[in-house]
Amino acid sequence: MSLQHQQGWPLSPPERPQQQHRPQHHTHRLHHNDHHHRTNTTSSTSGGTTNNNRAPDLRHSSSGASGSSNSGGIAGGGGTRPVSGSALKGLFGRRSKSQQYQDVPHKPIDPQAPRLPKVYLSPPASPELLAQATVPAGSMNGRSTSSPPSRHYGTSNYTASSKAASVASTVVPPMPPLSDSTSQRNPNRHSVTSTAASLSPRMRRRRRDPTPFNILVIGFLGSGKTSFIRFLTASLGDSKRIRNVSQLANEEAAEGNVEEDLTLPPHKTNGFVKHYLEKEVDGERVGLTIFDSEGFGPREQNIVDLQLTLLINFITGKFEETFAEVAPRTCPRCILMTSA
Amino acid sequence: MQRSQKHLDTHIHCALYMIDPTSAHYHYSLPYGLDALDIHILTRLSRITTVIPVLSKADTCTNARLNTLKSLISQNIRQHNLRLTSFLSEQDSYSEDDEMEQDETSSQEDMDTGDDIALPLSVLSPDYSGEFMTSDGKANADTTGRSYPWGFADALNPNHCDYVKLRELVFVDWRRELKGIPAF
Repeated sequence: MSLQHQQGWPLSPPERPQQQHRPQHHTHRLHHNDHHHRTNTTSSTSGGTTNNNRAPDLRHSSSGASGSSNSGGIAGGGGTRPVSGSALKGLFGRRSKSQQYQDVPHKPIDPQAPRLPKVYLSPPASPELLAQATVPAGSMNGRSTSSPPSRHYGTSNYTASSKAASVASTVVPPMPPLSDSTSQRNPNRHSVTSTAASLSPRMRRRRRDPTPFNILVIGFLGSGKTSFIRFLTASLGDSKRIRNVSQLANEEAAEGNVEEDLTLPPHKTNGFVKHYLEKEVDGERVGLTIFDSEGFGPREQNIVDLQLTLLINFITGKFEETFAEVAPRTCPRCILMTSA
Repeated sequence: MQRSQKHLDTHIHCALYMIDPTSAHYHYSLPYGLDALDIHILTRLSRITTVIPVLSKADTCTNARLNTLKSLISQNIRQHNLRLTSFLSEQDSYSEDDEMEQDETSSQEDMDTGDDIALPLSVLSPDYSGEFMTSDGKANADTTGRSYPWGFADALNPNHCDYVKLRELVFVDWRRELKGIPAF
């Protein structure tokens, strides 16, 4: 039963609205049982139906519980008001009725009862949340990755972007308490990205990342591309204005970059070797990526044309990867469009 | 369009086009520097990114050959109207006034490409036959160039090649401009 429970559970959410509309419909239930062809006994059908009944039940119970907890909290506050009111009177002296009324919402409601997370109720009221929202917005100001609502550069956007972040956090619709733990990694969110509170630690780390600077080295076969890159990577830090970051950090960064690179589909990195290093140029951390390309082949027009097309596809693919709205690694359409 | 925050700037900010002077196609006796294929590649690539021509293997060239090749290639670039380093003057004109006198900017551009930046820059890469890196990641003193029976070609010596100039220009001076311009 528990196994069937686990199998039936992920299928239930998309069918939820149908169930709510006509839960007693017989043919629909038969059709629905066909979906569960892994489970073949009659007991499994009962398991499936109970599972499907379960999702709306939980939703109803949760919303009902939150609603009732709200009202219960207020009612409870009303019930206990004379006691605490008298205690307050004893502590702070007399208070007007309006002041007592103002005290009511601040009273702790029943901690056991499910309620909405505080983040969505009053984000501007909590100072630490505001601080969290403003600090990354300011730190990323001079960088190329600006916040989505305001894609400008310059210091004048400091307040604007932070305001936009706080406004976006208020716009977020309240989530049901059951999905509270998963809401932080919800891939479908859009406006939530601007609030620092909802950022995963990985994305927060990204904001501190160095400014990217990407260079491609091209040329005919044997024109000295690879040895030039080798010399460049070894001697870039010798300059007065370019300083080495510590070797350990550099290796770490390179490792992280290689890790990311492995997640790319192989056709995107075909023929291009990526070198990544971090340097400090005029006090600014720069993440330098040097791509070593395959050399152009024998000097014949058609061969070079083909290689040139591949190269241009690579460059435009990189360009679109930067400005892609969704994660580009899952979207092969961009590549098709550029090659067409 | 909303842009996802976690995406890094991955697009290619500039491309270094290595030109091999030892190739038979740039033979000394030929009256032109770059051949048609080079021009073809440069024209197509310069539409999408900034292409910086680099003359590699400067140690294989005599002074006279190096100078001839440089002037020939810069002539070719001018002849075929390749706007390789035009971003510099564009950046200047944008930073001050968007639509000032066009004649002025164009003359400025000519001046920039003419004498200030002598493209292509020459480069030589050391011969890494033995151990080429010390433990702290810096190049050894004797691995910054190529030693010949008659002398030592030092990549870091500005008299031998333009490597230091190239490094400063691309990674320090031009970096913001290279990042600033849209690729399309």
